[in-house]
Amino acid sequence: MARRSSPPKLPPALAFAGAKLLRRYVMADGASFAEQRARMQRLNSLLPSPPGITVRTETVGGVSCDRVVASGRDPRGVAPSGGVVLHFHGGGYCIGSPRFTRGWAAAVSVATGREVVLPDYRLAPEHPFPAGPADARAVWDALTGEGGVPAADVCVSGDSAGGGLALGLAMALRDAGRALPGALVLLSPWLDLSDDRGGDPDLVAADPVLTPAWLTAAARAYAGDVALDDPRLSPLLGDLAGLPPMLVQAGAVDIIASDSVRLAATVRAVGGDVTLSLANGMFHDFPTQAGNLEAADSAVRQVAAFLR
Amino acid sequence: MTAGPGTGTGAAEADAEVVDVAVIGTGFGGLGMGVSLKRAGRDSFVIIEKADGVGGTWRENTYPGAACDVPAHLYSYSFHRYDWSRRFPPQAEILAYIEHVTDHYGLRPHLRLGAGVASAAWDEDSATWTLALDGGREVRARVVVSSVGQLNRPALPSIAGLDTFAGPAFHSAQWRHDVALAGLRVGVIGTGASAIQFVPEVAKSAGHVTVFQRSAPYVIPKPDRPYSPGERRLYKLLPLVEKLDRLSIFLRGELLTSAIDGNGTAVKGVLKMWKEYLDEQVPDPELRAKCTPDYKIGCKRILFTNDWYATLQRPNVELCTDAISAVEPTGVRTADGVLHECDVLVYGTGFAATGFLQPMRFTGRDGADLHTRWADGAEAYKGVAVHGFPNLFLLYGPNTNLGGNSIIYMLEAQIRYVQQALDEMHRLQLAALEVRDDVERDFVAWVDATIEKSAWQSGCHSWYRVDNGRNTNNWPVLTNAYAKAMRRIDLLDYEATPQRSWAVA
Repeated sequence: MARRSSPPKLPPALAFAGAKLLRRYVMADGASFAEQRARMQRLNSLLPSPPGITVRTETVGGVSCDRVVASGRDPRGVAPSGGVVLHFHGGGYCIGSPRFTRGWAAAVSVATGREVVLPDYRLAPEHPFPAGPADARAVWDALTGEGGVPAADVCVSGDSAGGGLALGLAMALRDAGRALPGALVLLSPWLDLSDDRGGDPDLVAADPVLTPAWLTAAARAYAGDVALDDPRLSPLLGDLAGLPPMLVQAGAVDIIASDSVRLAATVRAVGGDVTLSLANGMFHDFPTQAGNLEAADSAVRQVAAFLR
Repeated sequence: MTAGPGTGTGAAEADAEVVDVAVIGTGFGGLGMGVSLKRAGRDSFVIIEKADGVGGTWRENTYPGAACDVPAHLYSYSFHRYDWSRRFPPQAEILAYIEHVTDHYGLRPHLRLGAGVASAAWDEDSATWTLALDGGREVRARVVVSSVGQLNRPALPSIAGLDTFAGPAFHSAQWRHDVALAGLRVGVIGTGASAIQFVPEVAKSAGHVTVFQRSAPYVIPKPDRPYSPGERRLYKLLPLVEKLDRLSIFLRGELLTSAIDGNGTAVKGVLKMWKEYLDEQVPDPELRAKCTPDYKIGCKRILFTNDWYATLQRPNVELCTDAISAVEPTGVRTADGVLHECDVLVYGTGFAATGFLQPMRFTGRDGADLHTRWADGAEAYKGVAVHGFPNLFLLYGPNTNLGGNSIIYMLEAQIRYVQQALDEMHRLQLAALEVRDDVERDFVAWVDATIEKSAWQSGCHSWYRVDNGRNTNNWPVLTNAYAKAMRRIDLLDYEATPQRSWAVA
């Protein structure tokens, strides 16, 4: 069936192969997180910036942020009604950068007309917990403070570890009795750092992106002295009641896909509003491939429909 | 799986039969779904049927001359070959095939015959459907597969005085075999796919047949013939030969489909075939004019038969093209004032095809009513899934009818898809799947835009369309494109509800 005319997309098999190559190159065994970051940077510098957007880098609440807006919109004129998506990138709290999720941010901005703010939060092991959540909170406070965007017009989102930051931020705001974001969007979120992910050998073998060893190393580097099952690190293990409506997307060929499923089941059980879509043939963090992969474009369409 | 006693809802609860999957309908679709479930080793299912036997449209339509218009090698399950007596077998043989398949795959214990589904309601907490059957019985199922067909509710014409007729009057799908037509004056209303099959048979013995035609059909020859014993042996010994025949029938079907879809060359070919056949069969220019349709070819179903034009030229047959003004006790009065006296009236007026899943009532999530949802015409993602109605799958649903190929091919694509949905739900431990609203909307927008280019939308009145002009019945492109779109289920098209056991304690 012919879809709307758009640039050609990667066949899923090729996308899997690409994801595997990415892991071999970036998340290589023995490479320090600093080296992994450098390799990722090198890869990112090869990528053309997605068309149809303007990007400004500026400091929000003391944290450098990429602000992505679909062209044709005045980047300064963030209309209070237009809303903002505050998105935290993934990378196990140790690697990654706003540049890595720019493709997704561009697609979401084009599809929703919203500005997407991508904080360059501090990473472990140099800056372990609670540096990341502190940065997230600082950006939130600045964004929604005096003369800023109403909290309800902000969708807080994140992919992978960024999903953990996003959910943790919403829970912290709830606990502090502060105004909550209007919505949460979590892409392949990493929500339980205490799970060693070795339980399903078939899934471990099939996952092209993540390995239990890499996750364990990232979790240790991020946690520092804090227990891995502390809900501030593993929000899935905390109180999930009273949170904004959330959309959770995950690929099933992902050793942490169960976090998405457990989150959806638990939020439903405590009476929350959650929508889960589980792409049976997709890998970890696939929505970040928006523009290159039909499934990722479909995921962005779902985000746009959810935020409408 | 999660289908178990959940929140109690009343006394009937204790009597409810609890299964994993409830299939509705025992035609080619419902039984094919049963075979698939059996083969997947999923025995917890029932197939519910309002009638007392299997066969669907092939059990109901027993009128003389009833036969399929796609050769049986394609109009049969790909997974179950059969020793067909001829190329286009009659109804009785197709029904025997269906009975045989039912036995062969051990489906009998799963049948719940003689109980129509009055209503079905989704319970979000337990993620199950509760089906209320006529007579008060209940079935609770995790998943419902509705396979009730498009052509199962006879449509009577809206003509004044219809019930004043003094003699026997019946619809072709409810044939009165107790009424001997020999020597009688028979009035037939309608010239669709049923009428062109039964009129030639009725005319053989009736005293006089008056055929009332609103618009002429395009009729092309049906290359029907019995298979010789040698051929039957060949097909039996060399399955590949039958497979090749199947493929060639399919490809010819695709050619016809492309004509309807708007391929100019193919249209010319089919038009030429019809015109030459008409010219050869009907020498009388006046009758030829009456037999010439006043709409674009393909707009209504193209009909295949070898004896329609010959029958119209029998001395005891009259083709009346005057509009009917009323039915009276002794016959049919046309607009020119003439009373055409009849002893028996037969309605070959087809079916209420746009009334998908009628008269069953479906209540989905948040109390949504399916028929209210479909007030502007039925729609479903790929014909199988409807937003707001989790774990409900449709076979031969909206926009999956064909004008030029085998519906069984479509049904098998749908059955494979639904089976994959069930398998994935099991594998990923999901309690429910509900198609995304935006995905369904995008799909329907594509169907609506694409089908506008087809002959079906070229301005005639047909059973494919609802009052607002939307075509709710037909698949708009090649049959093969449907199979391709259905090959692998993408759960990203759906919202998933995890089983409760996933919840963090």
